[in-house]
Amino acid sequence: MEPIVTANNLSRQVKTADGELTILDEIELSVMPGDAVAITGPSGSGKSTLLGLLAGLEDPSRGSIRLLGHELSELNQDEKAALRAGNVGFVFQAFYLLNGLTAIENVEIALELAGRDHQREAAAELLERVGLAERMNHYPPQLSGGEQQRVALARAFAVNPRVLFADEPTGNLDTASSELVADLFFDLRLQYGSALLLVTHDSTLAARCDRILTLGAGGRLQS
Amino acid sequence: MTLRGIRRDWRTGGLPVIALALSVAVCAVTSVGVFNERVRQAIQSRAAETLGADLVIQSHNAIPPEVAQKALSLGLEVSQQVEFPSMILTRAGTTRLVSVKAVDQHYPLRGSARTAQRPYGDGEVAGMIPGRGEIWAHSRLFSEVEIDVGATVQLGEQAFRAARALILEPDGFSSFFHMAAPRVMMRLSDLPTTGLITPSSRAHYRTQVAGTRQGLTSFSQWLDTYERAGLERRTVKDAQPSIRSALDRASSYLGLASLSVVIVAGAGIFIAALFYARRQSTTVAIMRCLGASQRRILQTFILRLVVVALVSSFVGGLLGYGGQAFLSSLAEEKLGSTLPPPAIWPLLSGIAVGLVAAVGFGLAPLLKLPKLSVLGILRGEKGVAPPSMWVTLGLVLLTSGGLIFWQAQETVLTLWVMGLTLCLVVSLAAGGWVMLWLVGRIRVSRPSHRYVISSLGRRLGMGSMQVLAFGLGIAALLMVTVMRADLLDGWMDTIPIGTPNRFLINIQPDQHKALQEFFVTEQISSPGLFPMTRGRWVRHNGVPVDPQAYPTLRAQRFAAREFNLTSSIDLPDSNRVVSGSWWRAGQLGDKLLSLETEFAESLGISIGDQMTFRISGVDLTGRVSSLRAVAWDSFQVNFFVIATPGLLDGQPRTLITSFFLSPEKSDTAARLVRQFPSVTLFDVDSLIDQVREIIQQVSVAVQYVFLFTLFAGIAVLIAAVQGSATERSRDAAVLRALGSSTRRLWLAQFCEFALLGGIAGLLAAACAVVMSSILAREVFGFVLSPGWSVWGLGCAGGALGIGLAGTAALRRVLQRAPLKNLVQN
Ligand SMILES: Nc1ncnc2c1ncn2[C@@H]1O[C@H](COP(=O)(O)OP(=O)(O)O)[C@@H](O)[C@H]1O
Ligand SMILES: [Mg+2]
Repeated sequence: MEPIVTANNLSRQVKTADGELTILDEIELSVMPGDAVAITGPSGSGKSTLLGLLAGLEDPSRGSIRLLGHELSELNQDEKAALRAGNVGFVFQAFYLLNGLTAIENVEIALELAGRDHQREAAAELLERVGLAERMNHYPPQLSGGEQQRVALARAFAVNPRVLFADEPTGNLDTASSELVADLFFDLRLQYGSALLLVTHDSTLAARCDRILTLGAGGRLQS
Repeated sequence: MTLRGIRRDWRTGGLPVIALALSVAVCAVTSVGVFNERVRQAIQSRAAETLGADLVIQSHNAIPPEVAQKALSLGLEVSQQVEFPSMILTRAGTTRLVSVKAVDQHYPLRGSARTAQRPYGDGEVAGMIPGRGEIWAHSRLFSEVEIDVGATVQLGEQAFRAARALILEPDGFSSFFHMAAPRVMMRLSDLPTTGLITPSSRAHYRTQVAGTRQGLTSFSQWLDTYERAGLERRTVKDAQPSIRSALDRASSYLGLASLSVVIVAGAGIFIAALFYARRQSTTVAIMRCLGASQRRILQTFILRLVVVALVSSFVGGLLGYGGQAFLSSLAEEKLGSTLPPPAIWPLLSGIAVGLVAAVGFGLAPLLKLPKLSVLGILRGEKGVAPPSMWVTLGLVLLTSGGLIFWQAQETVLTLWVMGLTLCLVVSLAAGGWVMLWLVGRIRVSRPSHRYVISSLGRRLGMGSMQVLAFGLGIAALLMVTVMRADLLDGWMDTIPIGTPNRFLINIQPDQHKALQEFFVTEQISSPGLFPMTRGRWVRHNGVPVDPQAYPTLRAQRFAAREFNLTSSIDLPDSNRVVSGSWWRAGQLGDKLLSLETEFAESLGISIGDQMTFRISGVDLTGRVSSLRAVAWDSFQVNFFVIATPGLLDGQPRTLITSFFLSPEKSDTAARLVRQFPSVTLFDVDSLIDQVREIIQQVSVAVQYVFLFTLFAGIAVLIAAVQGSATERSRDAAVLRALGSSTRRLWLAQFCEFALLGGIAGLLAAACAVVMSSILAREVFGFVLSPGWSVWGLGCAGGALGIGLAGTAALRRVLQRAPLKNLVQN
């Protein structure tokens, strides 16, 4: 079986005022289908940077990434986007819903971009599943943070993704909504069987994954 | 401190767009201002040719020599002349009353006389005045007294050789109606030998003056203090109503066109200031925490605004100078003449306009800054509150009203334009709001389509602001492009090819039939013959008229001279009743009068007044029943006073007509005068040419203003895009992460802007049609029938233009959709 994501010799440096700063250094990583991997580490250790690289949102300084069987460095922006559509789900710390669309439309647009038009029912079903049956036609600014994140979960799982990238999904939430979102998140993952790459500094959340990797000083990855 | 603050704020956005919008506005105002002034001067000096000078002083008594000395000492050119009626006697013993004009060797100061070898021949420019012992006589005299060129005639005690036929006297046209006798021109130095001028003779003394603007101004000021009884002043302004009205129209059109740039830019300044205020809210919150007073904060931001305004206005003004040089060279090329050098004051007034616009349009959003809730900001809740609607409206109205008044210099016109602008702004904003709201209601099933529509429907406030700004820009563009063609063509059409260029007066009623037959055989079409009766105005509401009692020279002149009265059943074509009403069919037998409105005003006559005229010894009284505005630049035969047939029937009359004579038919004129020796023929070709030239100049300048409206529109677009850039870039990143292609992102943005532009374009077309129709009627004096293209162009052009420009302005935002910002530090 081919891994969902692999990273070989992955490095990321940025130029700053005081010279080159190495954020990630020679990262080796592989995630098999259905795997749930947590990446933890202190704030500023490069977790988000790593996630962005693996999802093809950013380009590495060195090394290679294979996502869903494609070498990312060989793809251009649009090809990478096409690869993500329908295969990759995202959950962000700041939710990132489209404020101009209602909850259900936010879910539908992910389906539309995955090439699946007129899937209102599928979208509605998922929103019901995350407990938002009553709020489908509300706009994101009318929803609480926890509710917004649940819409984001519905959006991420609606396309039945093969891999899910999540960056601090509960980072912006209070304890109660945090737990609700986390439960929903892991339930849905089990149900859909997607692989998961979860960035978090919350150790209880990390503990719910199969594997925990820690980013340490100097951008090195340790199991 | 301020400078450092500005440098810091510059990067956070808002200020650069304010600066851009201001520079564009000031550049437009300055360059149009300078250009306008130069063209105005050029045309005035052309028009001065019809006066022979820039300023003429006239008196029934010899003009004291100190007047000429003063003018000379101010560096002005001076020419003296005397005009008087006299009898001429031929060898054959024929006598004829002539109007003699004796001129010195400086005559004319402006323009030139044209003379010919034979009567009615092709005139050549005369480089000098008649030689010693010579006269030049109007062509008509040669036929009337049956002499040839070169014949000897007697004037007073002196014999003269009639050396040439006088074809065109540059300063002769203005008085032609009143000059029944043919002109004879001689040199002033020959005058004493004739013995014609005695203290009791009815002579007009004239001193003509020409020179620089400054010189003329100082001279006029000196004259004001000198003020000797009986010295009458004439300038180009009162010499040529046709040129004056064309020039005024041109200036107000151009001035208002450049103001439209300022107002469009004002929308950009306002949006940019909103954005700037929003961006500064955190800074302000921190300043407040650190103990800055509200006053202090307000001062800080106003100072920054003013400094940015000063600098960018100055830059815009300098660019404007460059721009007008280009513009002038275009105009010079098109007209084949050089313009006078540019003045400096338009730069200063341009900068002043910039400051006023910056404060007027940019202040309102800043006013809320000191009042913002510190806690709210620190909790990250909301930024600065939107500006109070009333304050905004008040400031904007005050600013645009002030600017329009400054440009129009007239309260009534200002109120008109203000009212129109207000209607325009309100209908654009409200129309935009309604249309966007409607668009927001459209049901579409695809979420990506919904995304486009909801982007519009959601930001109704900002969206209608944008429709307003784009709408103003597009309306201005349409006005100066499509409607310009309609407007200028329409205006040109008021003096089409075939506009009467010859006037024929002193036609005896019994010549009527013969003259009409002559026109038929010569294939000349004439608008018809109008009766003309001369009468002296003797009583106003029963009180004897005393010309000296009128305050203005113009009124004194009107009151003193013989009036040309006509009678008419219908309102003549180029006339419009402005108050009262034209007589109905049943009133033709009544004794009613209709007066030209400015004329009536200067004489203090109003509707209902009784005017008594003495016509060949008989007094006739009529009641003023209407006032008319006359389009003098239509070159139709027009009268200050029109009476009902009931008032003038049976009175002695001559006829007057005008007709078009094409250049190749010059023999016709000669035949006409031979067959009808008693009629007087006048040539107004050069006047018509001058008016056409003015229209040409305006059309060059207007194309240029068009460019500026475009730039101001772009500033608005950038301001608007900047305001929503953060949200757009975030949305683009999300869509991209979800797998959207670049093309799709572009398309969504394009569609959104195109819809916005289409709506703005549609509304703008409606506004442009309405405004141009009003402009055509009120300013240019014709009825406009706009074509359909304006609608298509407005909509399609708006959609495509705003769509492309908006997408282009978002290029950076979209191309670098900051995906990496989605994942957080
Ligand atoms: N483009 C960049 N330029 C400069 N520094 C960057 C850039 N991207 C990330 N960093 C720095 O790299 C470090 C790692 O960032 P990030 O991956 O967001 O950490 P984490 O998510 O683990 O908190 C931080 O110190 C951040 O400031
Ligand atoms: Mg992070």
